[in-house]
Amino acid sequence: MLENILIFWFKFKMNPFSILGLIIVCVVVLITIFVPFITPFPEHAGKVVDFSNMNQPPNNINYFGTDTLGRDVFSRTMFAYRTSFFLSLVVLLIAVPVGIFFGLLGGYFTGLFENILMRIVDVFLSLPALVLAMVIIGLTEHSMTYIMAAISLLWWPWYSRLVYSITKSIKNEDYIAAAKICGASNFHILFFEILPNCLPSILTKITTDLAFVIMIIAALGFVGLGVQPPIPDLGRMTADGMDLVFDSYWLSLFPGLAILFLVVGFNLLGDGLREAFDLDLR
Amino acid sequence: MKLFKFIISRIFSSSITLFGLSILIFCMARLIPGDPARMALGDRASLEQVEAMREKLLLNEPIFIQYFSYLKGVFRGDLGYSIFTKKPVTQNIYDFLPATLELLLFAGFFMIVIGVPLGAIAAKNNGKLSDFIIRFFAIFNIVTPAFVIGILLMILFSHNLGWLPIAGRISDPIFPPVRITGLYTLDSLIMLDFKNFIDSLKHILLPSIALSLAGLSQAIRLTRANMLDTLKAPYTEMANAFAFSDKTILFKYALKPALIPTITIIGLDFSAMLGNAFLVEMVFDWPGIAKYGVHSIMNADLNAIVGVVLIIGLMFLVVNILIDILIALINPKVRLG
Repeated sequence: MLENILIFWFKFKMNPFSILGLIIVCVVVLITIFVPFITPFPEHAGKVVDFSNMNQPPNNINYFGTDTLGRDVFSRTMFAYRTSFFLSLVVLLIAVPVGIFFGLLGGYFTGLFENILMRIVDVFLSLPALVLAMVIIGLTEHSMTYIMAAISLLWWPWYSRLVYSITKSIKNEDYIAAAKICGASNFHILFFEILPNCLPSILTKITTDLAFVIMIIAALGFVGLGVQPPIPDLGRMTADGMDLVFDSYWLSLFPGLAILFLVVGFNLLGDGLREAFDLDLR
Repeated sequence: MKLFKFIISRIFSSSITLFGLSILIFCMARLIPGDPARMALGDRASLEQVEAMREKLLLNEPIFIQYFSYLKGVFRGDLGYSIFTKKPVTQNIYDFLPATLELLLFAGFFMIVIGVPLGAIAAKNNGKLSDFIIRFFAIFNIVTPAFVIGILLMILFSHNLGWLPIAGRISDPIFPPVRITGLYTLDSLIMLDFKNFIDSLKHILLPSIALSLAGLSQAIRLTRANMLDTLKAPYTEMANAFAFSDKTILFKYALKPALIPTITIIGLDFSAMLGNAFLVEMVFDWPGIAKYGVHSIMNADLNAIVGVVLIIGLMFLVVNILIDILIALINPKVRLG
């Protein structure tokens, strides 16, 4: 086991971009954990108005300037990381296990269940995630709970399809047959023989999906269906600042760059994992 | 004959998917809290009016009866009334769909015509500066949300340089061309109205580029990765040994086999493009089906939402069938396997 991890680490660190991705992701994780201690104005993430300080360009006190209500953009951007990261983590924590479970069952047991499941998956995948998310959130409430629920509802089919195709391709391998002959239960075969073989693909997909979900949440924020103010959200901050982009470029530039930084980090990490696991997912 | 069978089976399975999608979206629109009749009539309507509306919309019936009556309507081409535009949803779709189709066609065109050659050039110059620049360009576009790209383009080309119009499909004093296909550029070209053509072309340029960049960059990355393989393949080496020109080797021997996986992914990218169309149309105020969709979502216009979702789903399925057929035509292994 340890040997495998060492080989994996050796392959992973061969590519400097993978290391860069890992560093970016670690930095963002640290920021989300320690954000109240590292930001100069943590209270600005909430309902604060300070008109005497509004629309200040970046300076020594407000590194990213201040917004139209006088709030520190740096503090708000860092807190927005927390929102985005938290949301996408919860979405995947819900969607991934559900997707894996159905994918395993669908791939292992043939017949009616498989057909019905895969048709349901097809239905979900026949619409862009953003569109379905907009419909669900638009018709309900624009709250964090509904955003998480809506995106989770849309995300599990991707994992079902991934796990389904892997299960389908390995379920006739010799070691599965051997386990069956030894009298292993279906439960054992599914979760201890097949699932470990799916993990590298799942892990890689989770890394890139974290970035993807963050982009979807930002897009929802842009249309006005995302997290509602005063909770800071990267998409919303970028969108709100766009009206004033010629006078106060910092309002949308820094939140926009923050999205970029995060998404680049997760993508580089995902690519690195894919290379190190030797997966061919293209 | 096998191809024919393949096409029929694909159409059949897609119809089932579309049917499932209609059930999903219909239930979503009906089961979600809030009274559609009240939403349609507004706060000031009396209880009797709301009750009459509920009767008219069959809201007092069980949901499956509502669904089947809706389905019957769909087959007659009746998707119900849009409370937002006060017109039949079918009429709205007829009005707004061509704008989106035009946008998607242009974006798809850029994706293939720019993405694939750039990928080929990057693969050819693997490890050199041009490869690095192209890859950086591709990664930047993939990680930047479409609305950010749209706004950046708008600021640069419309606001700062003033080369292209900021929003809309056509300039105000110019009348849109007579509707033949509904695509302004094509219609004006058919009518030989070049002034109109140039104007609508200028309008569509920025939104379609903003829409295409993510897919275009995927096309670059895929073409590059696949061509790195085919450039090392024995048949390419043989072509090299025969001293064929670089261009012949690159585009004739290495590119063709590398295209098959790229085309497969373009089908999936199309789905992302449909999603991004919702953002790009909002940024550029493009009067298409996606903008109509956003407005109907904001106004809880249930019939319009269901109609838009069905049309988007239908477009996605049709494109994927076409791509499957295309791949089957190019690659006999898929067709016969």
